[in-house]
Amino acid sequence: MAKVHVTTTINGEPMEFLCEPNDTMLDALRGPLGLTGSKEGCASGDCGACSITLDERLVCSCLMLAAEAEGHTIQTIEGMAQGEKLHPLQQKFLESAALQCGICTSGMLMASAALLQRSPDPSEEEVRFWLAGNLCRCTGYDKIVRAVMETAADLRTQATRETAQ
Amino acid sequence: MEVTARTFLALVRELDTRFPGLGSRVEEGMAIAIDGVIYQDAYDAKLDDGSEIYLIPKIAGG
Amino acid sequence: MNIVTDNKWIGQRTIRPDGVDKVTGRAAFAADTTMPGMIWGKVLRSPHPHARIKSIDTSKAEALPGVKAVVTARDVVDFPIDKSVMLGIQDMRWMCRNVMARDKVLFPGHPLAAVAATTEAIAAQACALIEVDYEVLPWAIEIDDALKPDAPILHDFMKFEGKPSNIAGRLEVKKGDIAQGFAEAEIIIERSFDTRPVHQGYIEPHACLISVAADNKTTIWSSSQGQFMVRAMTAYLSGIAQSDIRAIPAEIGGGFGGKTIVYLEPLATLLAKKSGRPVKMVMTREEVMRATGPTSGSKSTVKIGAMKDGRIVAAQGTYYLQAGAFPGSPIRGAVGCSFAPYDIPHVLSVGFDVVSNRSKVAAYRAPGAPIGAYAVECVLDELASALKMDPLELRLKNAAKQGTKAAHGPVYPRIGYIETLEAAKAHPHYSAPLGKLQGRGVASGFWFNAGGESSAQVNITEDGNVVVTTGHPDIGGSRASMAMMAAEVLGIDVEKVRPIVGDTSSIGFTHVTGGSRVTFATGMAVTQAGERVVHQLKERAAQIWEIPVEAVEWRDGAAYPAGSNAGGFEPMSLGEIALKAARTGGPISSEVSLNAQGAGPGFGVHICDIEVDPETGRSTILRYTAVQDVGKAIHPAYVEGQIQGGAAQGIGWALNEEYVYDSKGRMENPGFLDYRVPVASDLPRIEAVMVEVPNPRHPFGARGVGEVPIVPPMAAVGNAIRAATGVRMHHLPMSPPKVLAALDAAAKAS
Repeated sequence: MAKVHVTTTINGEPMEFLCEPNDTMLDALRGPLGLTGSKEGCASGDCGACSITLDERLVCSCLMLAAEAEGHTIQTIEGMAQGEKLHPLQQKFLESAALQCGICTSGMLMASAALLQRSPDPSEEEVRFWLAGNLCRCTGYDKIVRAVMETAADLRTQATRETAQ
Repeated sequence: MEVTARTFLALVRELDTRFPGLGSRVEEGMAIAIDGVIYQDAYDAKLDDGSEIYLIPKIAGG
Repeated sequence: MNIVTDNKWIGQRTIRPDGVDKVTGRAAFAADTTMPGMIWGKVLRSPHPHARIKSIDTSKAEALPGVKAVVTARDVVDFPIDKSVMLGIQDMRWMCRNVMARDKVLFPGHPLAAVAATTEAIAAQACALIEVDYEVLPWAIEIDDALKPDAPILHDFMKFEGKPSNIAGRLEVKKGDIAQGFAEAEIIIERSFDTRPVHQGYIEPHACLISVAADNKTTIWSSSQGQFMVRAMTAYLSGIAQSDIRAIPAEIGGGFGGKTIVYLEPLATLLAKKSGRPVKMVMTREEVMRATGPTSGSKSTVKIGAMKDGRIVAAQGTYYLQAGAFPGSPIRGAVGCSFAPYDIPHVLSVGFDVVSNRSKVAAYRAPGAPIGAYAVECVLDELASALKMDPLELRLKNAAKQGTKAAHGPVYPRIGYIETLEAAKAHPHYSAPLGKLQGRGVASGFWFNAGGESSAQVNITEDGNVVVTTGHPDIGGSRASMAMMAAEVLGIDVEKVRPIVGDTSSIGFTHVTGGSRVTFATGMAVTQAGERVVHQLKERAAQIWEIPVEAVEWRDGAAYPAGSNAGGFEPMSLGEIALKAARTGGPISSEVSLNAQGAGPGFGVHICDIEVDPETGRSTILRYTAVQDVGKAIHPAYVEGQIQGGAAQGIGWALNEEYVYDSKGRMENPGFLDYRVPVASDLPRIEAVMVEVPNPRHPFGARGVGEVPIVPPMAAVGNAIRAATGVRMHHLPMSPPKVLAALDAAAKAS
């Protein structure tokens, strides 16, 4: 069967790629697109290491066909930092030691960013349930949850300051 | 069991003399506690007069 | 050894040097790597738990367009059964049969052949074209089934007490006279427990990319806990000389012991050699769960005898652990660790290594110790209850300390078990109030901690910075600690130190990352190399100042004349000396390779509060505190991280994780949906309390910390459930259906 040609936008950039009809978006990211920041832990949507956003909605890229990206916007971990400037979540994860081996980190950051987009003042319970789809075997989640809560607080403070100015 | 040996390697050789094959099994698979201190993979671990020796399986972790 | 106490970096929470790559998705894990001309490898695996291989016909696979190579057991070096060849604690006789079945398949998932092709899809298609003629044999997975008189025997050569058996070995540890001990005891409690197999659960599947040139020069990128282990095992199994192999450690996405051996590398190497192309192999999650090395399921019986005042006089443990298809279950951990926290005059601890038709076990964080501790710490809980004694008081009364002779042989040097118990007892968690259906459990744990071979190289760059190269893959953030130790010794800013993990061709031999040994052993090598560099720096300053080297001091990253008689020279910084390195003798560097002895054992005490829902049997952990003697926390955040992570794995082992088998002996739940590891919403905050009783054998006082925290949780959780419900769970996991069944049974009985 001929390959499928897909035109899409990834991290703000227009991109095209070829894929097999049954390739997942994760296969496409890690293969022809060379964006290996999204990781495969299970290929069945259970671990969240492949988390991306599709039109701003958090999804497991292993549960999406690559061909479905046609005409949509995709954000991956590679688009989180702006050039040299790390996203506040990325910086906080570093400062809080919220990663050990790092394999779940891409997915955790994508999921956490998606949470803070929709819920700037989440409770700890909310954070834990939101992140329940992102498995981490190294940290026991403690420092990850703290990092997300602290970043949320920092961003709220910053927003208040900006509003006040 | 009483043995005359000054180092772990000497102990291994003595065991092999008394019980052929035992020495190499000990050398390959065992760590040694000499008067309470554990040594692993140390031919020159020193045995003193009257040292109490325990042979324990090599420690490995995960 | 004098422990450095006035520290600038040790104990700080610095940002790890490899962190930015990891939070931006840039860090290169093995599956992220590519090489030009790369092709893909896939493995054909047995569907049967036990079968003789009558024939394998790979011709159709070889003929499929796109297929570049096929390998079978014929291509793997054979290690005859009658001669043991040890590589560390692994016997190559079993390893060569584990990576590729010879004569017999011994577990579902056992590799039979491997194919390399231009795409993954073609390689998988080719595997399906391989024709295998099996003679299916009866199988046994559970210990009871493997020990029945008429059990199918896995290995013809295996005999126990003269008879064909599935018992591969027996280990006994003895102290005093157990019969006398029990005769003296005023109270005796004996209980039996069993646990299911669980997987290390690393999120990153095994992966490798291997290139073999026509002259055998081999380059390996792989996810492993030890590139030297990868090199050695691949050499042994492929027949390629170790010196021709360069094994490069990719970043590793979790290991916990499961990546201290190889599965794919020998196969990919053979395929790469045969095809003349670089071969990449990545396991699926299903392959990881079925065919790598989940730890043992077990059956244990523990009997403890004590006096009415709480003094334990006799302790006996019998532990049966599954080895999987080949010998090698971690009975040494169960037998050696279970009673290790206590000073008991009469001990008999016996372990049996039982083979059965499931995959060969690999190490899992403090191998064997959690299994033994689960049984012992639950019985101690029963004892405390029977004696109406506080469970921590009972442990304090019998606690091992410096000078205590452990049952497994050593006399303890300075250890921190008592301090850990006292910290737990004094912690506010221990006296916090509890509500209805809520209970609190405590448990202790011990791990030997290892030392072993490590190498480290400290190089001063021409612009006055420092590169520290070590030989161990960094699983948990240890690079940061290496940089801090080097910075401390050199007296410079830690930002000027760049720690890297070298491959087998660029750094001296280093034993695997595991056994809680890296901060201890590699830290020792880094510190010694740093000290030698300091000496060199002093020599260079001495040369420039034309004074004897004894007249030079090194302080805060600079050379100073020692006292006014030495001369009124201005201090020379490391940077200034580095600029003059060529003229004062050449590059300034030192490499140290050592075999670190004197690792300090570790102890942990965990407190767990649980609420049990009587309608569903579900346990919710309300609060969890893990207290541990860490010696000296070089980087406190990563030490806490080890404690929290280990506790979380233990909690999963206690409450939910298990291998479920179907009627054909295959694992039914080989994915994260049904193999239920703890998720963020399952756990509360895990408070890690670090007690510091420095290890006198390490320059900064460090003890290994990584493994201890997985040892107490199963009993801590079990004891909490007992306290909450009155019901003692003797089987793990204590999942909702099992707890509910136990609650119902207890209600019926009363």
